Amino acid sequence: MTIPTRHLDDLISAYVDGQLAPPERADADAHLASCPACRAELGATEQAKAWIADLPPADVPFGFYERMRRDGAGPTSRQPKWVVRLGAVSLAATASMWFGIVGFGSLDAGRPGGLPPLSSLLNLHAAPQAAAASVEAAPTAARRKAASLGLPMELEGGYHLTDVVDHGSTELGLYRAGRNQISIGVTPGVLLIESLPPDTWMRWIDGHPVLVVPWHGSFVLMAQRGDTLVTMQGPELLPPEMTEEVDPRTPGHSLADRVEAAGRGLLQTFGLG
Amino acid sequence: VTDPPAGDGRPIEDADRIPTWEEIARDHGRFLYTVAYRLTGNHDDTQDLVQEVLLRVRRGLTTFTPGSLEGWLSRITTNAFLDEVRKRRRRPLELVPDLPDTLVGVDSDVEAARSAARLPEEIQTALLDLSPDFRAAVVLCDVVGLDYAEIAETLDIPAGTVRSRIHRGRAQLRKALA
Repeated sequence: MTIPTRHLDDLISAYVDGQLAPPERADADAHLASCPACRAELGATEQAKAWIADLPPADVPFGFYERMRRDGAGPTSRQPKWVVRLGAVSLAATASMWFGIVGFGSLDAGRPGGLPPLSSLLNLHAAPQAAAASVEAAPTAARRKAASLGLPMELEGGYHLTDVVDHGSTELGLYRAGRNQISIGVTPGVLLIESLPPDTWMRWIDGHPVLVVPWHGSFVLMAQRGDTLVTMQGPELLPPEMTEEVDPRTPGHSLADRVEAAGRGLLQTFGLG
Repeated sequence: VTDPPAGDGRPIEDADRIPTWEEIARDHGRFLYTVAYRLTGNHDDTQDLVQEVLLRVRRGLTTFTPGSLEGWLSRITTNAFLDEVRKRRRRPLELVPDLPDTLVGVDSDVEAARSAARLPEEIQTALLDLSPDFRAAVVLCDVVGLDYAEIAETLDIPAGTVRSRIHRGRAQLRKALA
């Protein structure tokens, strides 16, 4: 057997990591059999690897998620960009889009997670639902249905339930206060990352992740509750003053503030966060 | 409520399926924090780094490919870390020549060192003494468990350079922890 005379040097780490091709490994084995220095080096390298690999997971400090929530989903320098984009959308243009997180037909049974591509759901968002929504208080049947879904009869801000609409796999609770409408959807299934639009962002609210999906100038908030996806769209995300060039630095008026308020309401509605 | 078809809406134990965003937060939050902590060595920088990672995650949600979630998170984390290091220095990452390393001298205490236990804090301190690019290679290899080809792709360096950095990083760890 020919024994390679050259020391293994950094091949030893590749050897330890199982990254040598079979012929290289055979050569290395042959060398190690005859070279005490490289054998010692091998042992020391294995030890160095084990020191790092065997380190326990880091302790996540208490309050970590809370701090993330407080600090927001990203550097504040990025927020004005959203506000500018939001400000460019007129209230009239978005009003018709506030009416409904609409169902998207049957679930695709072959798809892991239980939800079809989210674009289907979001496309149906734009379907005008305003005319169908009653301004009267919801009929008894709708109130019973809401109760069975865990939907509240009233929301903060003077909103009351006007109807619960069955859109196939999504049940949609509609709430009104004056001319403003909020919709809350309940859809069985688990949200998949791949289904989200690329400009989706995540915000931690009370230690719970809430997805914010920009859609036609407005936003849809989403939270996963077990096997159910809960979604929300409404004027909390776009206050009436928006058309009056409200300075987004006014306390409570930044997009982050409004998203947080709306997201907290959604989470609390469903016992999350 | 329309009943979903059987099997839908329930977690599916399948390594190849694409995880949900909630699973990332719930199942991989600590892993993400750990990788960030190994790189930065302190909790303040770790939290900043994790936040930056989440920003990038939400921008890159659609680039995820099934089966490598922690690898994907680790790549984002490592690159965010190295970007921050570069930014702080306001100059290119330190130029450590990636020449073939020579054999580290074998001293008589090697056997003793092998059996000596080291506290996690000592190991973390030694890890922080490595240059950021050596540290990134070692963390991706030994904390995350990526192979050399994946590390090369993550750090955008040749596989031979990966091998050299990992080996030299380990040599420095041995020296520090001897």
